[in-house]
Amino acid sequence: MRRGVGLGNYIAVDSPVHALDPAAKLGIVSAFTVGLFTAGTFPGLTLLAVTVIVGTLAASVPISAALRGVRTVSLILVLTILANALRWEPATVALVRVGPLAVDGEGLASGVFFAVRIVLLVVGTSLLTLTTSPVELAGGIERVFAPLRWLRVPVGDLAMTLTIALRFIPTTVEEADRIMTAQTARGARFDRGGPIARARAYAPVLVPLFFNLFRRADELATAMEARCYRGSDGRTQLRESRMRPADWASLLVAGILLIATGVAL
Amino acid sequence: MALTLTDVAFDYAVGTSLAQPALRGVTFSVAPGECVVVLGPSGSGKTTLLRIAGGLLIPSRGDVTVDGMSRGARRVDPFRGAVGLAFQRPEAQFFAATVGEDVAFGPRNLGNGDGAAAAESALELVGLSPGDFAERSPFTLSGGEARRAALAGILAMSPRYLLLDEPTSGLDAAGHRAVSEAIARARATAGVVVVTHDAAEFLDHADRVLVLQEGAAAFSGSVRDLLADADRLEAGGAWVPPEHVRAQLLARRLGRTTSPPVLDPGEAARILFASGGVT
Amino acid sequence: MIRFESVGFAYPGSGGRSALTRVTLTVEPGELVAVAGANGSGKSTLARLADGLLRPTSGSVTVDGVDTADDERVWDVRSLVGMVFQDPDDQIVGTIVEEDVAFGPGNLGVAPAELRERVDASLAAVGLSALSRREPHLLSEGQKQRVAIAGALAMRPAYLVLDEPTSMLDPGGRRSVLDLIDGLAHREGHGVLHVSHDATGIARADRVIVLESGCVAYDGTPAGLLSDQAMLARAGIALPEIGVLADALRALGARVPEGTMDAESLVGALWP
Ligand SMILES: Nc1ncnc2c1ncn2[C@@H]1O[C@H](COP(=O)(O)OP(=O)(O)OP(=O)(O)O)[C@@H](O)[C@H]1O
Ligand SMILES: Nc1ncnc2c1ncn2[C@@H]1O[C@H](COP(=O)(O)OP(=O)(O)OP(=O)(O)O)[C@@H](O)[C@H]1O
Ligand SMILES: [Mg+2]
Ligand SMILES: [Mg+2]
Repeated sequence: MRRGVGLGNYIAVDSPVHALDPAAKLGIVSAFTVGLFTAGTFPGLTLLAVTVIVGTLAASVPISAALRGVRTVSLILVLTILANALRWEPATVALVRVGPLAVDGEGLASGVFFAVRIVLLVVGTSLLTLTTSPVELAGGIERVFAPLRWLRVPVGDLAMTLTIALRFIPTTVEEADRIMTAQTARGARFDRGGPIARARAYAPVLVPLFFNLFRRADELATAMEARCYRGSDGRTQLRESRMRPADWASLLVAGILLIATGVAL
Repeated sequence: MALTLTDVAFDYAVGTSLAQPALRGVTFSVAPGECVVVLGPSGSGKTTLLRIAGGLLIPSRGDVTVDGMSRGARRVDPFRGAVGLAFQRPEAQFFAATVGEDVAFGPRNLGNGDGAAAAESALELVGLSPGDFAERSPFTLSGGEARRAALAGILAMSPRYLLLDEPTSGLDAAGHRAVSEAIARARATAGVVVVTHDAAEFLDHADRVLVLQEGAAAFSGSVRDLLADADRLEAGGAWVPPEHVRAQLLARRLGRTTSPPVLDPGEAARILFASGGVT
Repeated sequence: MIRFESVGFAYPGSGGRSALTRVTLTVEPGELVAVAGANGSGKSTLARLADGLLRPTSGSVTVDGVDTADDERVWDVRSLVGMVFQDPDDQIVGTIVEEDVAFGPGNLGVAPAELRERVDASLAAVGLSALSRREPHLLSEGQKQRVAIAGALAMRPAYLVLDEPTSMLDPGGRRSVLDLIDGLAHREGHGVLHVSHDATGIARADRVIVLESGCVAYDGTPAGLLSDQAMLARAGIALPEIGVLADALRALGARVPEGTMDAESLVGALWP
C-alpha cells in the first residue's frame, strides 16, 4: 500500500533552478541530451554527471525524488549491461565464464557506459519536470516553438494539449490508486496468494480504470470550459516568463558543455 | 474487543520537501456498541485518522489493533470485513458500472453470496429505491444520492466497526434522519466513529468525543466534559460549537446565567428564559 | 440578469424522466437568491444550466440577454457567470493551488500584475494563503472546496453560481464563506445563486426558490419559508437547533425575531 506520496512530479520550492525561464530550461535540457548522445568517452560522461549533480543540488529537490525515475528503468539498465557484457564465443579477455557464456571486460565497460548514459538522461530530464510546473512548461514550449506559428501550426493548443497529457499521467496513477483503495475498503485483497491470484485481483481494477479515465478526461474538459478556457491565445499566466541575463548565461554554459563533450571529449 | 489506535502519527509525502505531519500522536479507541464523534477544523487530520483506523493508511508511528490483532505479519488481514469506512467524498468510493454492483461488491467479497440481497436492503436503508437506482451509474447521481449510495456500500458489509467521514454532508433532512437511524441500528452490534463538522447532529449519539487540532488531540472525553470545556476549545480555535450552544456560552459570558450549556434546545430555552432580565 | 424562461431539462439516457420542468426564475445583479430542495430535486442541474454547461431541452436561459444555447456566444456567458461545483474535484484544473486559482482569470486575459493581486486576494478571502504552493489533489476536502471558491472569486464575474459551497467546511469556515457571499451580493453588486440545504445560509438570501422533483414549489422570502413547516419539509430543510431554540423561547414569551439563526443575534434579542 502506498503511503500517500505526492504523485505530481513538480516540487514547489524556491530555488535558482526553479527561477530559470522554462524556455531556457528546455534549451539546456536539449543541449544536455544531445551532449549525452555525442559524448563518446568516460571523461565526457563524467563532465555531464557533474552537471547533473550540481543541477540537482542547486534545485534543492530531495535526491530520492530525482532518482525516482531511475527505479522505473532499472530493468532496462540491467538488460543493457548484460546485453553488452555477455558474449557467446570466447571473448578476448573473459572475466567470468558460465558454460558457453562469457563476460567480457570491454563489453562490461560499454554496458556500464550505456547504463550511466540512461541514468543521466532520466535524472537530467526529470530535473526539468521537478522544477517546472506543467503550466509553466507548456508556456515555455509555446514560446520556443512560437516561430512555427508562421507556418500556421497551432502552437498554443498543442502546448496546452501537452500540459493536459502531462497532467493526466499522475491522474492515471491516482485513479488506479483510488480504485484499489476503494476496493480494499470493501474487502478486496491485492497482496495475497500466488501470482495468478494476484493478477486476478487486478482485473476488477483495470476495467473501471479504463472507463473512469474517459470520464475524468471529460470532467477535465468541462472544468476547463466552465473556467473560460478557449485556447491559449490571449491567455495570461501567473508567472510571466521572460529570458533574463541569468537565463542567457545558463544557456551559454550549457552550449559550452555541449561543445566540450561533443568535440573535445 | 475494540478498535484501538495507540499514539499514532502520520506524515504525508515523507522524504520530499512537501512532507506534511498530519497526525502527531493520537490515542483513541472504540468498542462495539459505542459511538465516538471526531470533531476539528478543516485540515486537522480527521480523515487521515479514519483512514488509518480503516487500515487504508499505515501509520508512520504507533499501533493499530482490531480486537487485539495488529496487521503485522499475520496471514489474515484483521481489518478486512471487520472495519468499514465510508469515504468523505462519495465519488472517490465508486468503481463499478452500476450502483447495484457497487454496493454488492463488499458483501460478495466477504463471502456473503452474490451480495444482491445485502445490497438491496442497504439501499432501502439509505432511502434509495433499488428499482430506481440499482441500474444507474454511480457517477451520474446527484450529490446527495451519491452520498447515500456510498453509505449503502459500507452498511451492506455490516462491519463490526463502522467509520463514517462526514456522513451527512450534502444530505437533505430525510437523509439526515436516515443516517441517524442507520447509526442507531448499527450500534446494537457495532462500534461507530463519526467524523463531522455538524456536532449538533451527532453529539446526542456520542459516548465519547475527540477534538483534533493540527494533528493532535485538543480534547478527548465525554460530551458533558466537552460542553464544560467549550469556552477554552473555542478560544483556542479547536472547535466552534453549534450556534445554540454558543448562545448559552455567550449568555454565561455576559453573566446572565451560570449553568453549563446543554444540547437539548428545549431545555436550553427554559434555562435561558429563567435567567435574569429576558425581554 | 440571469433569466430562466419555462426551462425543461432531461439528461440523455434517463428514459425521458425530466430533471427540471417549466422552471422560471431571475437573478438580478446585487441579488442573493438561494436554491433549496431535497436530494435529486434538480438544484445542480439548474446551476449547470445557468452557466451554459447544460442546454435546456425546452424553454431558454439567458444571461444579460445572451442565450446560453447560442454556440457563438456561450463563451460570453461563461465569462459573465462564475461557477463553484458541488464536487471541487470536478472543477480543479491546475497542479498548484495558485496556478489553479489563476486559471480562470488567466483565460480572460487579465494582465499578470493584476492576476497576481486577484489570486492573492481570493486565496486570502478563503483563508488559504498559506497553502498557495501546495498540490490541490493532496489537500483535505475542506481545503479543496476553498480552492474551488477562490478560483471562481478570482474571475470577478458579474454572476456567481455556488453549488453547496459550504458542504465540506468547518463551522468557522462556513460562517466566513456565508459572510463572503453576503458581501459579494450586497456590497459588490454581484448576482449570486446559492444552492444550499442549510437553513442558516438560506436565511441570509434575499429570495429563496424551492425545487421539488424539478418544479418550482416556492419562490419568496426566506422568512416566509422558514415559518412554513410544511414547505420546509417539502424543501428537505431541517431547522437547525438554534432555530428550534428560538422557537421555544418565543413560545415561552421571549421577543426573538423570526429567522434568528446565530448566537449573537439571539442573545442580542434576549438582552438588548
Ligand atoms: N494525500 C496527501 N498528501 C499530502 N498532504 C495531505 C494529503 N491528504 C491530506 N493532506 C494534508 O494533511 C492534513 C490533514 O488532512 P485531512 O484530510 O486528514 O484533514 P481533515 O481534518 O479531514 O480536513 P477536512 O475537514 O477538510 O476534511 C491537511 O493539512 C492536508 O492538507
Ligand atoms: N448525468 C446524469 N444522468 C442522468 N441523470 C442524472 C444525471 N445527473 C443528475 N441526474 C438526475 O437528475 C436529478 C437531479 O439531479 P441534481 O444533481 O440536479 O439534483 P440536486 O438537487 O443537485 O440534488 P443533491 O441535493 O443531491 O445534490 C436526480 O434525480 C439525478 O439522479
Ligand atoms: Mg476530511
Ligand atoms: Mg446537487
